[in-house]
Amino acid sequence: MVSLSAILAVTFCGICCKKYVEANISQKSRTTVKYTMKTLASSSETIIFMFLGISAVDTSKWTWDTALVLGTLFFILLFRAVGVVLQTYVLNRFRLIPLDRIDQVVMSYGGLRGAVAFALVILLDREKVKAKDYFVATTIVVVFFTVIVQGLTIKPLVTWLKVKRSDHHKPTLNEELHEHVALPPLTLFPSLKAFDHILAAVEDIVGHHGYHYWRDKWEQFDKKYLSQLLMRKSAYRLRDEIWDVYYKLNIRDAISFVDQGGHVLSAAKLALPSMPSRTSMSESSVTNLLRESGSGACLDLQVIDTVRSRRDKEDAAMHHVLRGSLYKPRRRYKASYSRHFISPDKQERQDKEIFRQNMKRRLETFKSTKHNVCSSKSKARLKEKGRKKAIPLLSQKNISLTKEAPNGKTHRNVPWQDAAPVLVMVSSEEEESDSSETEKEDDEGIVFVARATDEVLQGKTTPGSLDVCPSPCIIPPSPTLAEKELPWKGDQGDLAVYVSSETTKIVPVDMQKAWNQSISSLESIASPPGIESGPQHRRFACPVLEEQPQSASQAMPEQSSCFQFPSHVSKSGRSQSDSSPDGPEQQELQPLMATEEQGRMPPTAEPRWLMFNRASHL
Amino acid sequence: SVSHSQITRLYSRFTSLDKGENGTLSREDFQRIPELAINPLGDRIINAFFPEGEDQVNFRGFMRTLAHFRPIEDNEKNKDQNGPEPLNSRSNKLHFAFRLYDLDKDDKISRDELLQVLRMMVGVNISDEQLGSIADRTIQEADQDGDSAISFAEFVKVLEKVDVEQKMSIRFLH
Repeated sequence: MVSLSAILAVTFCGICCKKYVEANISQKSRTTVKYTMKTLASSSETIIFMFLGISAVDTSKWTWDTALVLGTLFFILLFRAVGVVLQTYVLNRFRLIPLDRIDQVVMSYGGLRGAVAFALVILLDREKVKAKDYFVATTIVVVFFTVIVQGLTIKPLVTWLKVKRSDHHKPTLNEELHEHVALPPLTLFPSLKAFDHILAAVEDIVGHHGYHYWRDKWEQFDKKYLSQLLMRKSAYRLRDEIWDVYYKLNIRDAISFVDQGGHVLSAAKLALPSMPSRTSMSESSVTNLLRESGSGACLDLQVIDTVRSRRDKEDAAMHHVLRGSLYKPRRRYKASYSRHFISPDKQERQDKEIFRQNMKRRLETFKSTKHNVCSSKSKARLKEKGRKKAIPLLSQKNISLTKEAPNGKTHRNVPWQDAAPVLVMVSSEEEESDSSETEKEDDEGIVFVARATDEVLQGKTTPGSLDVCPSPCIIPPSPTLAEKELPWKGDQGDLAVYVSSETTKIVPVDMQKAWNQSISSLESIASPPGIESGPQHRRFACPVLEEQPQSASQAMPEQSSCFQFPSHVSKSGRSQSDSSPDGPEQQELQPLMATEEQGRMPPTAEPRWLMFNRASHL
Repeated sequence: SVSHSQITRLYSRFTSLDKGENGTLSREDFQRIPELAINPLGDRIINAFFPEGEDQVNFRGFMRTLAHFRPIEDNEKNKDQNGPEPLNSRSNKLHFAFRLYDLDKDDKISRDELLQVLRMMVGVNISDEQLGSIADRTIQEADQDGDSAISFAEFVKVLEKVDVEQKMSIRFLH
């Protein structure tokens, strides 16, 4: 109608609408759509290239003009180079690592024109554009040239120029190499990675990347107006989808855990990220060192014991292991999107792990430094992208047991309601090894661990705006307790309990606050690394707990499916069933809450902070 | 050496981090930065900001630590040969990193300290024994004076080929 390009219109439509569409449909639909689109894309590409090939031999479709063709070829190369140089000049003013000549050469050489150009030119209207045939001919030649000639030669060019590449086969390379060359000291590896992490951290402290300011602004605008318009209310329950994934992850963890017979660490059989690091330098730099230090290596050779062969193998193995397992520093930008592969988001698992460990360490520090302080608390662990670790769901069998437990021990209940969500540790039958915990009950189903000193309990006054994050994750246990991820008893079939086993920790009040804040802000990071989730995740984290001694049974889930944390303790009389219907509501409220400043705990706002109401799911 | 606009920018960042409005940052303020929670070395870096034993850092201290990360400029190599080295020299950068490893500040990275750092940076898939052996090998390779710990000089030697200047520099946007 307006004679604008349909193709580009569709492209932009896809870009803009993706977020809303994804939010509005269920997870299964989303998956279906995703894979369907990929299939369609692949087949369309094939078709268009077929069409291109056919057009090339069908002389009725084009008219040859030598000058035009040659001129075009020459000029596209020229102007691409010019464009790259100009833009890199501008960009280099802002980059720490400037793009050097070689990068620019590769970038300009890598300009492949393909299907879109051809499609556009074929769609030209012959009436309006008399010279269409010339264009078609030219375009065909250009496409052929760039795809075939440039496409095929770019790889040799890159190797010839010794460009640093992100490498996937380095271990083998090393294994070959190290027979001739000394492996760089193992110290290098962690140090290099350490530097990356350090840099990332300091950048965050500094609040680097000012352009995020604009991004944040856009996100806010988007959240306030657009999202409300374009997304269903239930889209705010985006988290559900995430919980599903999380849930499945946990099931898998739990199963593997059980299979392993209780070895703690194996429970976290999360694949460590294997995405290329932010700068590929750290990985490839080792190989570069090898390459560049070719001469230096010879010296080393003389020093090497000839008996090193076995050690070399160990070395190689260690290198391999280390390289595979070191955490990658946070990526700022999502990796390139491939039409043919969908890579799972491993970064998030890494984040989750690291977060967990960090919190554990923090708690341990506090525990050691403030030994006698009295509050017990557990922290929610939140993943950056809003994945929330699901709250432990107790199976029915467990529930009944737990109910008994708290009732009998009032002093334990107090802290629980008192401030912190209690950590319920569910152990499987194989697990009953935690007898070190004196307060632990070795019930068959649930091990209720609440560690708090009595003084804490009694002496603790309501910390006013103390917010506790009853939500998920719980954090690190005392040294006596082994940290475990315990499988749940899936006897109900569809209920899973995941607990990161922990005990209540004693954490000072101010720490809690900061903690909550960090957790909540974690959630609401409008993360620079491409966010897929729609609405910001709001702080699940910070509900306000009012301490009121109440019977523990309230805290215990009544419903089989959900375990709702002490949050409802704060408001007496809330029953579990209440929270169920309210769950979605609450979740809707959450995004709104998000707009409040991070630093402030919403005062008593959400009585029931219950995060995850799985009832609807199960 | 640091431009005025950079200082202003950093100061505004400092104040935005400083929720308590008392002109100093405490550890909680740092921990509030979400990305640090998912950085394996986050806590240590936070500690690096705080001078020995204190819990608050003022803006000057904040700047001092951040100054380690300024990119090394060529003209700085010429001046100040006699005076104290600028904070962002290569050796100071390395020293900063060294201090992250070396918790007890005895100027040596012992096996335990190395193990701790490795454990922090590595996922849970590696067992403790493996990690221990990695640490052992690392120390073996780097250790030259045979004290089974890595001293600063050894650390520097190991990293001599690494472009530390670039890896530990942040271009503060103007």
